[in-house]
Amino acid sequence: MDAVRSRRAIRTGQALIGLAVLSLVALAGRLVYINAHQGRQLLSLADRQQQSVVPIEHRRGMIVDAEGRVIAGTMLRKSVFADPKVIPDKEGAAEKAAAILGISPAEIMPDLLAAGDRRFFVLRRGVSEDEARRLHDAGIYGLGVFDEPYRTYPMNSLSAALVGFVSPDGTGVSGLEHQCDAWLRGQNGIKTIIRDARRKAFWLADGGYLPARNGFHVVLTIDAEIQATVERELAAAIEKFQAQCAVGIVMHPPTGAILAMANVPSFDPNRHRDFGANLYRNRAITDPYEPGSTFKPFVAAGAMGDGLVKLGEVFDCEQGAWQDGARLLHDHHPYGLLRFDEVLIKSSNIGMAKVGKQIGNRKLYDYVQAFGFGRRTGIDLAGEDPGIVRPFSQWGPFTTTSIPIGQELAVTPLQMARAFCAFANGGLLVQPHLIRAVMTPDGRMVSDFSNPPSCGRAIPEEAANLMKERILCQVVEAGTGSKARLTNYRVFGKTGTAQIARKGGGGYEPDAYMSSFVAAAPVSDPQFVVFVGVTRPRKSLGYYGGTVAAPAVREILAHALAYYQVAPDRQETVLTSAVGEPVAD
Amino acid sequence: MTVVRGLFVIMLLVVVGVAIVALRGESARAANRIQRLHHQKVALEHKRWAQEMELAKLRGPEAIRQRASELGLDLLPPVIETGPSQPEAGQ
Repeated sequence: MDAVRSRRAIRTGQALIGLAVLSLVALAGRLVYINAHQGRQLLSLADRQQQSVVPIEHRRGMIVDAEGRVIAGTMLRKSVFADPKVIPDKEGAAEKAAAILGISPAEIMPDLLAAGDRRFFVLRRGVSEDEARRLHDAGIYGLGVFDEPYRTYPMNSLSAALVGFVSPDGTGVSGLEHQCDAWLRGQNGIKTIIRDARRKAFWLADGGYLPARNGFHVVLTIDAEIQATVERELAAAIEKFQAQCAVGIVMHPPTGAILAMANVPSFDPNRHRDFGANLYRNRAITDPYEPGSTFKPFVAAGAMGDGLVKLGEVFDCEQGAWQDGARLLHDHHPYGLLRFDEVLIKSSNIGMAKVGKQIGNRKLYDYVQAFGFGRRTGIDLAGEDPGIVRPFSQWGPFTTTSIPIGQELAVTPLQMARAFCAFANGGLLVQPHLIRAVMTPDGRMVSDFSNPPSCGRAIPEEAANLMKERILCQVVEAGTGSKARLTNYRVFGKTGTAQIARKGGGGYEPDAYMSSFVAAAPVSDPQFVVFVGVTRPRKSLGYYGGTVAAPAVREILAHALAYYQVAPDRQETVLTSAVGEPVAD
Repeated sequence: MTVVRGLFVIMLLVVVGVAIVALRGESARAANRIQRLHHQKVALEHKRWAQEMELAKLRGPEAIRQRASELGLDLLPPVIETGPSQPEAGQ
């Protein structure tokens, strides 16, 4: 009996063990099957549940002035995003969100409905912290708030046309933002986060962290203080003479560095859409104009350099009217016999036309070329216009008397300022430039552009110095540019009052002028070349370059010389405070 | 002897198991701390961005000029006297 029980127990045990083994084999088989056939799919499903990849926003590089003041930077703002695919009731969601944002549902409803099954789109940019918190608390399914980087211009309209702006996705669209986009743009990083059962970030996955690469900073040659002064003076000139617009440039002649490049009226790049696209243009490089009398020194200097005209040579200025073939030339004031230097100081058109006839077209063309007119200066900005200088084959007898008085050609304000630097530099042309350096986010130098290569000689040194000290200095001391005179610095410059040509040719617009003045100081060691051009001042209020532009140039020079503490080069130095009282030592 | 050896192996396995669990726990805590620190770092960086921009606004020439005028200060550099203007002589 016991033996039977014992055998039954053994058999039962064996059966149970066999069953257990079979179960284990079945489980092992199932495991092998899952691993072999569904393993990858299930692992990726688990990863999706547990991990999330979060972008790490990069920071676009800053644009700073020569003193490190930030002109363009990046910060974060709260923006609202939508995941339209998962929103069960789009109308309801739009109404709730609109109520919190204080806007009409109609402002966001069309976008939300049009988004279809997109998984992410930005519904509203730049909401307040309070609105963001309330939206978050409202828990509208499919809507959320995120931190979005955006470009900001802390000095608002300062140098706006120069710096430009970016598109909503952070790509440079115009100005330096566009030109330097490759340097300024960084690269987003990513981090892979392991989340717990409540989707709360728990830890970083192994190797799941790729840091963002922030963009490089661009350091400009612009000095915001000088830039602000130029913009202020241009605005004052526009207001005083009820002009259409004005352009101003300040250059450092020894290096070609641009210290200021201003366009007024301007726009605020923080809300550039509120302004007309015509204000986006940097007219200092895009809009050529007929220079008029400011062009006379270049022809005169070339002729002196080649020995074709002597300083004391006398020209008959025909008492203000001279018939040259089919052309009748006028001076604004009647002059008789004038020495060559007086022709320039008094800005006689007839005298300069006679100089032109004396030297001939070939030489005139050479001088135009030598000073870099008719071709781009090569400044580090996109959209530069080369100006207008007709090919030599198209030059005729009219050209001989037109070019010396700044007609039949067009130059940009930048070309004019750069060419004038040659008088300050002993005849050497410089390369105008705006970008001084490119730096890494932690301040290491990537590229240094502060010493651009020389552009060669435009005129002999002697001719440049004669022009500067004997002629252009007298233009300011006793000639048409006297409103730019400073008591304790000697200034040299040239006025220009040019009629604006009709679009499409056919003469000039009546009573439409470009009043300009280009000057430099101090004569002993020029540190600043300033160009100011005021377009379409009201004639009844004044339209001569010496009346409209010279006072603005004087204020800019006075401010820049004091700001940079340049040593005076005139004996009768009297410093006064802004309220007119002598400054104590 | 065999029983003693068996117990020793079991104890060894238990110790190794506990150590692995402890290390795993420590590693999780450290990873969590890294994650929190990283989050704080990003938040601080973003705060720095905002403060840099605020400072940039305050350093702007027009902002300084406006603030100086609000305080009744005269921050303008010494003005250079301009000479007497000559009568308009031409272009």
